[in-house]
Amino acid sequence: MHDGEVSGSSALLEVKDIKKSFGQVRALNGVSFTVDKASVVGLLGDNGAGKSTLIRILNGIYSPDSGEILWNGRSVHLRSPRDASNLGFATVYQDLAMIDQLSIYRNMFLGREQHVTWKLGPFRFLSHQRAKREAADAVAALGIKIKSTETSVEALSGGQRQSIAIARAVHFGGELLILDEPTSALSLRQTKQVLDTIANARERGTSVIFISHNIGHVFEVADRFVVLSHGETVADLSRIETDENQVSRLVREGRAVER
Amino acid sequence: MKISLTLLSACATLLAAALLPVGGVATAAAKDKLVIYSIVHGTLSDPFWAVYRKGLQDAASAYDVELRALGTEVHSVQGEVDLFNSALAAKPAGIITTIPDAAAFQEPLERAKAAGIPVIAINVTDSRPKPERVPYLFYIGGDEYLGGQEAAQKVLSVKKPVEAACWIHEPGHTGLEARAKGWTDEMQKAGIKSDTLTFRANNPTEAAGALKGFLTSHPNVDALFAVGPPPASVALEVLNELGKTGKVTLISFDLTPEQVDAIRTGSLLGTIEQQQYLQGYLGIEFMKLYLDHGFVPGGSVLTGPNLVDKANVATIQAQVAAGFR
Amino acid sequence: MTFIRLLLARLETGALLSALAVAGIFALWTSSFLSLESITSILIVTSELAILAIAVTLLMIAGEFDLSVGSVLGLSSVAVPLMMVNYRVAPLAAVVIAFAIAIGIGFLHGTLVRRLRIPSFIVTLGGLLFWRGIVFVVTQGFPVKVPRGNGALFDVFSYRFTNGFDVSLLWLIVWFVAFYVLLTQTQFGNWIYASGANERAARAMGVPVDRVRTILFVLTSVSAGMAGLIQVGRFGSVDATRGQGLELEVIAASVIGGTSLSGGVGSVGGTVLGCLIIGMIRNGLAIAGISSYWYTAIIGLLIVVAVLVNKSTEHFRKAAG
Repeated sequence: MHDGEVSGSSALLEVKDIKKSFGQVRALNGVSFTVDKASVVGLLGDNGAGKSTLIRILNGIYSPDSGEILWNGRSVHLRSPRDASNLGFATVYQDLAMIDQLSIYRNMFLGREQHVTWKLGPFRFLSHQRAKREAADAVAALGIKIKSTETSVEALSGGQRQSIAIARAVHFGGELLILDEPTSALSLRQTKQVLDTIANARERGTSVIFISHNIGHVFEVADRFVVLSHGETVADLSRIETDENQVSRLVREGRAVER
Repeated sequence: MKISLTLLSACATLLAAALLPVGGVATAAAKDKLVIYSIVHGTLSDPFWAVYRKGLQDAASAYDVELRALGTEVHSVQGEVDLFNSALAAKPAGIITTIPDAAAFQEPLERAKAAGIPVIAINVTDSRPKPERVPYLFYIGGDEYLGGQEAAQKVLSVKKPVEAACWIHEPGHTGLEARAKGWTDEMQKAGIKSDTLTFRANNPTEAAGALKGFLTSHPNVDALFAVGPPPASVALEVLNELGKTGKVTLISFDLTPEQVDAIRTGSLLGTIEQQQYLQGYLGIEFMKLYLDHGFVPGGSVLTGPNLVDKANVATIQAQVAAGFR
Repeated sequence: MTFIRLLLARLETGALLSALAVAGIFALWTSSFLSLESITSILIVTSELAILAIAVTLLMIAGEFDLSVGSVLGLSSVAVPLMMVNYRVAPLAAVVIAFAIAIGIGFLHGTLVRRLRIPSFIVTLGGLLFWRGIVFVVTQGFPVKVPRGNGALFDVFSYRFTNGFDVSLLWLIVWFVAFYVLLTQTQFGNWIYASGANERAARAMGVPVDRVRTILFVLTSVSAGMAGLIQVGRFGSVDATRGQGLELEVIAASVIGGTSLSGGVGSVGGTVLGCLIIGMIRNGLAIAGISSYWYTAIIGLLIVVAVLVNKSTEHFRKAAG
């Protein structure tokens, strides 16, 4: 495949043989996997497997030492978080980047208020009505049930908060969401809420990389399972090809037994 | 929620309870009694003003008027003007006030005059002639310039200083400046140079450091005029520490127990008092006489200067202890 | 019931109730409290304090403190007559320069906090002492008389009408409207809340937290300059202690009005109410002839009560957002 050529496949993101070292430490030693359009890929692996390094590379924070990243078939170089988000990557970190004391709609447009403001000289005035409406739309689009976007975020449950963070990412054009441990510390009911939101996002054409320690949660919603261990891809299996037990074992034991 | 409401009402009750006893007195006070305000530019707990206040209170009970004495938390002209405005709003029978800054008091005094509320100036005032000065009935207090002169004359009567200095601890206070001027002019007449020091005395440790520095760098200064009790107190301490007590002749203004002791032991040559008790007492008395009969003295009523030195200190010591001086 | 809920949800309710309570107590106590003379007296004190406090409130919402406002007020109010007297600067130019000095100081504070990463509490505490020191140095401790005959210019800042109301009240209204709109209706305002409530999250979302705070430092210093000029207009002279102690009153007013010391929460209206309460208590106690020591005790008590009220009504606010 040459630079610039677009493949006809349904692959949104292709990660090919990514290597990354920090001094003597080899964090990633040849990671490869694919994320299709409108699909959810579970990214699993024990601590130290290389998940965070991989995510930072996809966010443009680090550059890989070698390997290729293809977006919609085209080879791309992510030099900064801005590059990544311009392409369509949207990461929702564990702390959600939400301001508890502010309302949902203020959080929705935090840092991107220009979408719902009108300009007068050097000032941008918020159009509260529009912001509330668009926020409500963004939230409803993913099937999240909220009484009013004026409620402050701290009054929401953990599951609702997480879902709204996802809705925000989708609303601002995220084609590929990277969710870092979205269901840890959530109750069963709240977890279901988040998983439903993820499924709805997929329904609307968004892809998701779902990072989690909880294999059961990932299994509820993912189409593919990529297992990392010691910086290498140990498995890249579709839902049909495997089951929870096998994936569990792969995560626990790391490399497939070879000695 | 219920608990917080209880807590809230508890606090509200506390607040009301704190205010009511004091307030109850005010409302219960006979509406027939004349209300007279006294406003000063310093804290009422300052020993100087405490004596003044005793004068006010003694006269207030003697003449059966309702006295409301106000003071600022720190020396603040602006704070005093705000208090004056509040006093005016209460529409009292009369106001007794210090006037440490004529420009700041111009407008409020004119308003008082327009409202028909008589104002007597005490302690410090705008001493320009009547057509030019800010409006007030008359002045009760010391003659500051004369006081400074007398201090200089007393020092000159015991020795001829090589160099002199005077310390104003509240720069800009017209009264203190007048005292300093009286001293400096008198010294100049005798051909002696006098420096004027202007550091504040609110923080005694810092002031002591500043004075020490000055005396050490000016070894020829052997006469010092402290224009009030705070600098006098600091000066006594500093001279003691430097071992210069007696070598540097110290004279001061106003009277406190500490100064009385210092005069007796000889570390302080003397002090010029303005008998502020009289300022309070006569203030109320003259106000009542004016309100009842319209009497106005022909000029200022001088309560000072009065020199207290070793010769007469014994007689007034009991008075100081009792809070009259 | 919903109306009460709505009322309790507002941050300013506590301050409003306190203001009504204070006004009620004093009005019952002494009839002259509600006289025109008394009200205008209260409003003058309130206006001068509130112009300072409003700007400081915004800064506190953004998560920073400015303890130097009293000293900057002193410096800018002293600078004007000093320049006019010592350097024969024209009144208008002196006023402009005074504001320029204030802007510079605000910018300096903001830059020190941002670049050297020193907490604003420390930087502005240093500012409090340093600028006050400068005032003493340039005045040698003496008050500076404002040359008369420049009536028109200084009347812009403070002018007492015959009915007793002062022009400074209009300035208060201007300040209130401008800062209220800035805080609640603009993108910048959203950034103010975000910066104070959760700095990390705000930065993660691309909010220029440092720039927001630097601008707010400039605004507080400019407000201090404004308050200083109002006082120059009011009094014929400026003494070296002008503005001393105001920084704490300003913070007290903000806290009574609902502003949180940890940032992210605050109200311009509440702060104005807090200043009004302070003005009423000062005036009321003076009218009643009560020593001003009670004033400090009452303000102290009020701060604690205000915070308690705000805490107990917190969950109403959360529900309403």
